[in-house]
Amino acid sequence: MLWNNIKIECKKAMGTRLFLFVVLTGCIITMFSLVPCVQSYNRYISSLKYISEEFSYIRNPMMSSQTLFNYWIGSEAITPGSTNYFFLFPILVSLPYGWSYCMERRSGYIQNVVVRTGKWRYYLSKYIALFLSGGLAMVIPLLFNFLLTAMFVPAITPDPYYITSYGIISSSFLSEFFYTRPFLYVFLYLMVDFIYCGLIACLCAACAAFVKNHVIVVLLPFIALLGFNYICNSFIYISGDVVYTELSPMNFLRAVPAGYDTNGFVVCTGAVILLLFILVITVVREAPNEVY
Amino acid sequence: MKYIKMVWFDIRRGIIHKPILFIIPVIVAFIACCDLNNRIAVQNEWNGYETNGCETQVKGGFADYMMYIYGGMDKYVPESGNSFIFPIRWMVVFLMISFITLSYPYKDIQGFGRQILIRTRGRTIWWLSKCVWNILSVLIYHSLIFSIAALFGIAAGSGISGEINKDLQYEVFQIAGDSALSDDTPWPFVIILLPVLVSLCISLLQMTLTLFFKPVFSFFVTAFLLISSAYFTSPYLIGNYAMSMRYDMVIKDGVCITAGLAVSFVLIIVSVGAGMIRFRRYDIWNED
Repeated sequence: MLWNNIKIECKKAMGTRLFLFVVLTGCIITMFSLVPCVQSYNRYISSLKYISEEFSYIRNPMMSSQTLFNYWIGSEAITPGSTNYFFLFPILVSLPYGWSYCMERRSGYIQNVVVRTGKWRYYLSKYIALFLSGGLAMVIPLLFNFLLTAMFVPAITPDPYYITSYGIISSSFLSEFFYTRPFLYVFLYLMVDFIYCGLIACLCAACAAFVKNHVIVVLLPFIALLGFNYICNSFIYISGDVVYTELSPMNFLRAVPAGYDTNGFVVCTGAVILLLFILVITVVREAPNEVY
Repeated sequence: MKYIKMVWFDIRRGIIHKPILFIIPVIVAFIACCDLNNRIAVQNEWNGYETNGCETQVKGGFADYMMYIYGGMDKYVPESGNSFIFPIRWMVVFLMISFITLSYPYKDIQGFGRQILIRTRGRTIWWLSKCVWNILSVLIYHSLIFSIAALFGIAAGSGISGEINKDLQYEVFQIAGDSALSDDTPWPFVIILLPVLVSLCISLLQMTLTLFFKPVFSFFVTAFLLISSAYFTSPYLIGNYAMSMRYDMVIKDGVCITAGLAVSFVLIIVSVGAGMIRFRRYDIWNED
């Protein structure tokens, strides 16, 4: 029964044109990162060719300073694609299915399902579908960009000698993997993005406990993250002399620190807080409520 | 008479019964003004170290707080080592009003507004009434921000002066030396008023877009437009005219204020006109 419920919810969340549209939009935005990055890499190769023709040889072409792992969208914060994607992602991950719980409650669909399956099965399958749709809506465009970038830029293992080219220092989150197992680093970062974006999508259902308007429900996680970033920026990151830890998911979900370094403890704590918030709202407020 | 009644109805339902419109700008402006106070304190402390305490203390005035809220950011030059950090304060100010004014017309047309439309048989006046509601909402939102800045100005002892401290603004916005203008001409107060006009324009444009797409998509377009404007310094991206620090009288190679005024007025007229035409054929029974 539960498995059937999960299958139905997942089909409703990810078997729709809206999900496809969101993933396509994400992929189009990532193209605005791919094109400048490939152009930049080609310029570098052209300059190497020019130098080798002029001076007959190059002692050190520094090839490992220009690698796939600092050219894909997650590892740069310079191109318009990366900027737009990591700013707009809370809307993109909430769009495919964030509205569903709110709409199902309004339309009375929830009553029909709960009477057949029970509340807990309904909530569990709803949250699983939300989590998967949010995570996939974020990770598919990133993966698409990574693979497409790999077609143009070689995947040379980063060398700590060229640390300034990557922007990932020893105190950065998962930096030990970046210089030894870069594919694992990318995979782990994609997992972090998947979990966070899944939780952000689940936040929509939790917000539906307080807000009845589905438009507001879909946008509320974005507004909340924006507000949190604003508060951090105004009250925490004050001094220019202090090296802070990045607290805002809008910044630390990128695999390279754009402002301050990311800390593993902060990433885990943030995810646990989000999960607890969603659980508490569902268990304490939503589940005991009468659906009729 | 019918029109006035409709406007009054929108004011009651869309403004008076919407406390969020009054709370959010106060919180946003309060946080921004506190932030500027902190930065001024840090700067005064730094100046004190440099000049053994003989340096005059910098004070923030009303116009300085306003400039800090509407300033946006310096031109962004994409180059290795210069990551783009979006202007969070400016984004919050402009996206919050877009968020507040997003759902009311849509909700109205799916509920009580339908009955009004059928009984009054006036689609044009319904749309114009929503435009007046939108304009009033934006003006109230920004007036509250102005009021909080004025209160901070008075509290700092500078009063409500329209004079902007150039050095302070160049410092807090970290304007590069080659971008800053070296002349002593004071900045006119209009550079703080134009962002309000642009905000009005963006809000009306978003309301018109909700007639073509769903509200979430029109908000997405607005957010995309604003973040792209912050990234590219271009006269073709309207968000640039909403950033006081991007004007040609503030930095070198900035955008022209006159062009900003012209573009804003044209877009306001186009938004209202396009919305009016679209709404004549809009299916009001279209259920979401």
